[in-house]
Amino acid sequence: MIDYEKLAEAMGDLDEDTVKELLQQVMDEGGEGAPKAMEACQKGMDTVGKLFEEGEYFVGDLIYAGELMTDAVGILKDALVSGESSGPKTRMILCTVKGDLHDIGKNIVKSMLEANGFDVLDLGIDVPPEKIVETAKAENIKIVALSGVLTLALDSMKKTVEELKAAGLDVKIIIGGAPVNADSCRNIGADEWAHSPQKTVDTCKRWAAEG
Amino acid sequence: MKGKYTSYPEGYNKLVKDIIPWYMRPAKAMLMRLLLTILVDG
Amino acid sequence: MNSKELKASRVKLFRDAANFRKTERIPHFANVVTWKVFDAGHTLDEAMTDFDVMEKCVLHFLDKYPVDGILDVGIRNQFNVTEAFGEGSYYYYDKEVVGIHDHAHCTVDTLQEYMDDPTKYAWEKILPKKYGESWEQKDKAVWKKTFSEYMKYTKFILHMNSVMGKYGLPGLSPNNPMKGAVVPAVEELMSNLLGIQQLSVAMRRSPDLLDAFIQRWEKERMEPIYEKIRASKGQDYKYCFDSSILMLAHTVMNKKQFERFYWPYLKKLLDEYAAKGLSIRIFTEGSILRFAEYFKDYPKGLLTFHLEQDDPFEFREALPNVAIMGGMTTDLLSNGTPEECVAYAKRLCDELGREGGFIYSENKMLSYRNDAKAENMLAVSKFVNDYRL
Repeated sequence: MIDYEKLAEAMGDLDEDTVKELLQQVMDEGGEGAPKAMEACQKGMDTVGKLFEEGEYFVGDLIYAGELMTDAVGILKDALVSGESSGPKTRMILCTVKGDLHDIGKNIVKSMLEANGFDVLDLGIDVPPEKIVETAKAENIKIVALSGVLTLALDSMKKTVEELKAAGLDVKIIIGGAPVNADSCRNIGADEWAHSPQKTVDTCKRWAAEG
Repeated sequence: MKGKYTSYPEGYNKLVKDIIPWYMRPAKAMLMRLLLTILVDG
Repeated sequence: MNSKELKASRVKLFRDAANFRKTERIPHFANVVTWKVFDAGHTLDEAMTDFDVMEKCVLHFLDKYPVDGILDVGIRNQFNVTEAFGEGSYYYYDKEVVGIHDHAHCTVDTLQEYMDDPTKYAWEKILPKKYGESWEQKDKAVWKKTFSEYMKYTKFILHMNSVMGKYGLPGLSPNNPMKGAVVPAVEELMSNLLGIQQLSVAMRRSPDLLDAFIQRWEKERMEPIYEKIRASKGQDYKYCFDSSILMLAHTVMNKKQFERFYWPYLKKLLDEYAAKGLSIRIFTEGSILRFAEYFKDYPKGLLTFHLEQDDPFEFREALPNVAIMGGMTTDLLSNGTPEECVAYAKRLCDELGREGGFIYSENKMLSYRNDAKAENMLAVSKFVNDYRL
C-alpha cells in the first residue's frame, strides 16, 4: 500500500516521477487504492493552487499541473468508478466566449475544478451565448464560468449574461481572464470575477455549498 | 506523387529559380527568408 | 515645419522623454492596430485584404487624431500572401475579429534539428504539417501567385513608410525582420517553436534540453546582434528607440524559471545596450512588476517599459529609473467619458512626466471595435498634444 500523504506531497511539489511511480504501484497492487490515490492527487492540486496564490508557482506550473493531473487520471482510470467515492458532483459550464480562441487559462481552471469535485461541461472555445443558454437549460446548470483573454471577450461575456437572464435562468456567473476586473464585472452583470484559478474554485465551491 | 518543389535542397533551389525574377536573384536569400517567415508563422 | 523637421522634433521628444529629460509636452505613441479600421467605417475583412482600404483607414486615423507615432500602419496585412498559398493559415478573421491560433513548430526533442537548418526544417517538417496533402500539390502557378502577393505586400510596406514620412511620423525602432529583429530565445520558444503549453511542460520536464537550445540560440542568433550593438555609434536619431523587444514568456514563468531560462540572457542583452548608452523599449505583456528587482540598477535612459497590466504609478514607485510608455487603459477609453479620460491623461502627464520619463500610449493594442470610443480617443489625443507641462 502506498503512502497517500507522500503522493499528495509529490503532487503539490509537481514531482512527476514520484507521482507516477506511486500511482503505478497502486495499479500494480490491484487498483483498490485508486479512489484514495485520486483524493491524494486532488489534495496535492489544492497545494498547487495555494502555492500559486502565494507567488511561488506561476502560470506555467499550473499548466504543467494540469497535464500531470490528466496523466494521473489516465493511470488510475480503469480502477476508478465514477462518482462512487466522491458523492454527487456539481455540474457546471465552463467555456471561452465567442470571438476568443484562447484556452490555456480555461484548461487550467478546468483541471482545478475537476480536482475539486466538479463535473465540468467544457463547451470549448469561441462559444456563442445561445449555446451556453441552450446547454444551461438542457442540463439544469446552476454555475457558469466564462473565460476570455481578448478585450472583445468582455462584449461576448456581457451578451452571454444578458441572454442567460433573458432566458429566466437562475445561474451564478463568474468571469475570468486578463481583461476582467471589478469594473468590468459590474458592467457585464456577472456575480463574480477572478484572475486566479484558486479564486474561481473557491467561489464555485461556495456557490455549490449554498445550493 | 511527390511534389515538384518539396524536396530539400533540390526542390527548394528549383523553386527559387522558378519564382524569383533574375534581377531579384542577388537578394534571393533575404526574399525567401521573409516569404518563408510569412508562410511558416502566418 | 516641414515633415522632415517635424519627424526630427518628434524623435527628439521621444528620446528626451525616454532619457528622463524635461520636455515641453508629453509625446503620444498610438498603440492602435485594427481599431482604426472600425473608426474609419470599415470592417476587418475589407481592410485585411485590400491595401487601398487599409491605407484609407490609416490616413483617416492620422488626419483625425493628433499623435506623434503609431504602432501599426497596416503592415500586418499578410493575409493575401497566405491565402494565395492556400488553406492552412494560423490567422482567422471576419468582419469584427482577427486573431491567431496557437501553434508550435517543434517539440522539445526537435529543437536542435530546427537549429541545424531552419529552412530545411521548415521545408520538411513545418510546411508539410501545416498545409497537409496540399503541400505536395503546390505547383509553379501557386508559388508564383504567392510570390506576387508577397511583392505587393512588400511594396505596400515601403509605400506606407513613405506615407509616415510625409506625416512626419518616426518609426518606433530599427527592429524589423530584414535587419534582424531582437528576439530572446524564450520568446521564440513561446511564440513559435514550442508554444505556451509545451514550454510550460518543458521547463519542468526537460530543463536541460531547453538550456541547450537557449545556449545555442545565444551563440548563433544573439552573438551577431551583440556585435552589431558593440559596433553602433550611439543613439540613432532616425528612430524613437534603438531597439524594441517583446516580453511575453515571463508571463508563464515562476521566479526560478525566470532566473534560469530568461534573466541571464536578457541581462546580457541589456548590458550590451547599456554599455553603448542606447535607449530601448520593452513591451511587457501581462505584468512585469514581479521581476522589478532585476531592472532596478540600470541607468535612467536605457529602459522604457510599455506597460500592459501594471499600474503606472505603482511601477514608477518600484522602478524610478525606468521610463514608462502607456498608462491609458482600454477600460477607460471604452467605458469612460471624454472628461474622465482627459482627467486621467492629465494625471498621467503631471505625475509621471514632469521630469521626463513618460510617453503617453494605450496599455493594449487597440484591436476591436469597442476597445475605445472615438470621442474619448479624440479628447485625449487633443489633450496630450496641446497640454504644456
